[in-house]
Amino acid sequence: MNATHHMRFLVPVVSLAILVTTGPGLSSGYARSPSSRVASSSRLVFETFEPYSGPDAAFGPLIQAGCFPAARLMNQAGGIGGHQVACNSTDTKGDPADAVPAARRMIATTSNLVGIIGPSSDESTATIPVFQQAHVPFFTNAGQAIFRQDSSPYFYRIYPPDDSAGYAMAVWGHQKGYKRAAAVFGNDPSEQGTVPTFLKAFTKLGGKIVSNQSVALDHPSYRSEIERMLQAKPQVIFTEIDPQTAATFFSELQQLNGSLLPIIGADPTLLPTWFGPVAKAIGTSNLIKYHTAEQPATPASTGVAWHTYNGALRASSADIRNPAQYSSNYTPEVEYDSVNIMGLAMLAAKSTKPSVYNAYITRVTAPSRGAVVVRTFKAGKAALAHHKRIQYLGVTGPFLFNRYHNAPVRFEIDHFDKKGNLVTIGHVTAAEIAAIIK
Amino acid sequence: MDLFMAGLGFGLIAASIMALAAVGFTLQLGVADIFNFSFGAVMTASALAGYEANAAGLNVWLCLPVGAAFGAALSVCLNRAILTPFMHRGAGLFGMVIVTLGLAIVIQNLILAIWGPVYFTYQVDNSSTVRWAGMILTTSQIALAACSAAIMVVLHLLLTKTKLGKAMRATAANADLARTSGIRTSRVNDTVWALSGALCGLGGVAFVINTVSFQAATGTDYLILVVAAAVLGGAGQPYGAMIGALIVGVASEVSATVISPDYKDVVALVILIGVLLVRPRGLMASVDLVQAGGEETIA
Repeated sequence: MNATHHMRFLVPVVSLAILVTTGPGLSSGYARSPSSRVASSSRLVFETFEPYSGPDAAFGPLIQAGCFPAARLMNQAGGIGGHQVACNSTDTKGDPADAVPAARRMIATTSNLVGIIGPSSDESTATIPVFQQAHVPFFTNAGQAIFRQDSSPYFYRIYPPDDSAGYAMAVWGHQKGYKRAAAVFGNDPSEQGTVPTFLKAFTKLGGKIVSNQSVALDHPSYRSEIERMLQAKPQVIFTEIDPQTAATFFSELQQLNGSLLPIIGADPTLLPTWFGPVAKAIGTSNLIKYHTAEQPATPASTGVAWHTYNGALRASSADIRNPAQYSSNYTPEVEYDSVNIMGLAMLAAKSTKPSVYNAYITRVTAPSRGAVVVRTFKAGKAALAHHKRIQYLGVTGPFLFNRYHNAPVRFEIDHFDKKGNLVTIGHVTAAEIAAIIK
Repeated sequence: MDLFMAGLGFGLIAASIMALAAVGFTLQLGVADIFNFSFGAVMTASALAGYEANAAGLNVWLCLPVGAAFGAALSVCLNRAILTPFMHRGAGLFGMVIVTLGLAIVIQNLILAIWGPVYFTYQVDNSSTVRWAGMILTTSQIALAACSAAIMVVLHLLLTKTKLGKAMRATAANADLARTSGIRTSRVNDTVWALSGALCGLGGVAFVINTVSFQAATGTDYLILVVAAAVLGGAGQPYGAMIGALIVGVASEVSATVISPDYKDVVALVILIGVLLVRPRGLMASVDLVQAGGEETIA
């Protein structure tokens, strides 16, 4: 082949490479409809700023799955101030080094960016200052305890901090009578956030941590770690590790110990993306038998709010791969509510300008005398049109934001059934958690 | 002591799997003179080919040749279609590093685009456990280690006892001289890419048989240990890669029994840095099977 021939060949190859590596739609591995892929100049954009690649690649699609049904319902209800709404995505790769330039690029290039869903724990500390400077409200799923007292006026968190999850896991373990525990948590920020409070609370409740391992994620083997843990003779394993690590770790535990030990996990271990590989690795019946996990308590999958969400979710199959898997999943439900809250705040403020409507976010969620309780965007829009004050409850509310824009929640304890659906077997109340924190 | 022996056993298994990939990587480096950062992504793609075969009902052990064949075919295609044209246009070592990094990202994102950000899990039967001298191994791990050892022996025989092996060594030592001596270097080059690609594919499938589950970035994440093993042994040295894999595998697993497992990669990389300070060209630089050995044989 001569040089000209090479260039003829290389140009399309390099073009394909650029397309594949930079195209947000492709890089997220996410099929999206033309209506949501490109936001026209008049469309208001909610940007999901989450990992779509790297070890936490499952976060992005999971979280964005809440945005599409919210946007669909808003558009069906006539939009916001005459504007249609769209959901876009930015891949943080779960790495602050990639996330900061991605955040700056997103803010600089996204027309009509009105709200952000994210960041996750992986990139939160690096990117939250960027969002603060941009004066755009953001609903984060970051779990770090330092954000319990974040003073940014644009910061909102309706997830419990990771340290609360640590308390909930310890309380549940205590209630089940376990005295000797092994802690097995991944070594990245999103998984380590739970550890300090779990260790503190379990010890305070009279238990003993006999093995505490921070494991490197996605390694070919964890046999040395498991053997060391088994020598400490734990009764139970408390854990938060990603699906690949969990599949390897627990299948090797099964091989080395002859059987599994009871596992109490943090909420990411209840995700469909966790169930699939781990159930295949250790057997569905073993997973059901040995594994339970906490997650923020959600109302039962009934009622007008959930039915509205679920109907729009299932109608979003052009945007979401297998939408039914998210029907009863807390994470997309929260994101759905986050988008609705921002949309209603814009209507209440009569402005889509983020720095203006931001002050109305707590107003449309706070209980107050005479406020009309609404569970959908459409109902909220109708009430606001009649100049009424509203309290939005949505699927996962109420949202009682404190002065730092954190909303406290209680926890439920679930396990999987054989189809991967969640079955609630208990609760840990906010009061029980507060008692340990004191 | 029991814990140490258990860690040693786990390390030997980790090393045997790593050796497949490290030898493949170092062969490409030695003969084609390319520091191929897309190697990890090809491992993942090969594991994915094995996964699809496994999902279609093929026994997991037969996925090894499927992964090897896929890795070989993909590596030859990538070399012919992308890497060789760049080299003919004068891309230097650094330029080729960037090209292969780009290729790795493209392959990884193609997997994400087609399959989505999901985890793939092989159907691996829980094998029985064998306890010997304090080591605790499963029969499937022993089979993987035996498979790896057999492949290393075959590779040794290929390199030292066959005309093809001599031609590979001659090409690695001086491609122009080899060509004028009548060796069809382009064919040798293809063979090296096929062979190293097959080792890459085998390494990918063997890795996943051991871990059970993987995702789009798994091979790329693992590559740093593969490169560490290859560089530790001496870049371009197949035997060095084997020894490097042994050191990296055993050191990381044994260290996890003593200190926080969080640092097992760190331990391996500290050893790498320490060795390179004393022997900058790696442990086996003086043996030089592929390069210097080639000159001796041909001469």
